[in-house]
Amino acid sequence: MAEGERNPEEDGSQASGQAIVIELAPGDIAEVVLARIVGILASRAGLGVDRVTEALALAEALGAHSREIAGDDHFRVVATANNGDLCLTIGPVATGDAARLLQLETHPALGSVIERLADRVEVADRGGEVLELHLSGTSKLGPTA
Amino acid sequence: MIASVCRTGARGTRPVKDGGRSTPVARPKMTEPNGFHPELRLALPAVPENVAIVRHALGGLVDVMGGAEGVEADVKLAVTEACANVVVHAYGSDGGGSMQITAAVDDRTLEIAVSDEGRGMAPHIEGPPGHGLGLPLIATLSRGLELSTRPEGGTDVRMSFSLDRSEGIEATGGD
Repeated sequence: MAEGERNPEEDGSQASGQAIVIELAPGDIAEVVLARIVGILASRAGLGVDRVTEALALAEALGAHSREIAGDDHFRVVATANNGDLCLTIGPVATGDAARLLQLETHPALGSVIERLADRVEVADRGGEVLELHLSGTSKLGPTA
Repeated sequence: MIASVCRTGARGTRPVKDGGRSTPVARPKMTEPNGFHPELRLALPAVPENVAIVRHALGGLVDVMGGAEGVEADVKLAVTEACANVVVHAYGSDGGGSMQITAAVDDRTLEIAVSDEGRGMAPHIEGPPGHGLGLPLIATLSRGLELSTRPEGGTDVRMSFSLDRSEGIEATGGD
């Protein structure tokens, strides 16, 4: 494989294993469609109802800022749902954009909403910078009233 | 091999869309090698539980694009049938394959392609026979339907829908 070429097995562009590759026009489409897909996957992963709601909020936050990250390109997410764990890998994005995405949706009291909602956040190099988010079964915001 | 299906019904027979495009909408475009400009592209394992994901994703797209009443239901049912065909027939008993879905909106026409890398549409002895209703149903619900099998293997089902008018069966009032 030529240098710089994507490895489909690594980046999930060919739906390897149980990975679902999602590429969406940025903006409203990304916000609505990504939330619908993530909601199903969060349920499939066996997350509790509070956590599913938080996964939806996370997906909407990602989609809402998709244009700032993707520009005129598509917004790309690779999603995997395993028992008790939902993993969303956003990218590849331009260098620095993974960290920037975390700061695009902030709350005065909570800080980065994405970091607050995800159990694990990692900026990694997978043949290009990606933002990897994991959600598991425990709500990060505590029980709802 | 390319097979085209014309829709027939109360509104008459219409030829399959010829691929000619009018002025693109002002929206960022993801251009495919075949000239398709998808708003949405999914690649996912061809397993039954993923059909629901495609169904909801396409429903969301129609919702965002302001589809007329009935269009979302038509699209969801048609893509469900197309994806179910992939899950049941494309990979035989081996399973383990994937399906790709692309959707593009151009001049208030939604074009959807459901593709697989399976064994094509030639008659197969093994595997579930199905009821033979899927493709006629898609043809009824869509404005146009085009089926093609790639020489290297795999099938493409391309369907188009008007976002402004449902092609589905209309309710008729009793006299």
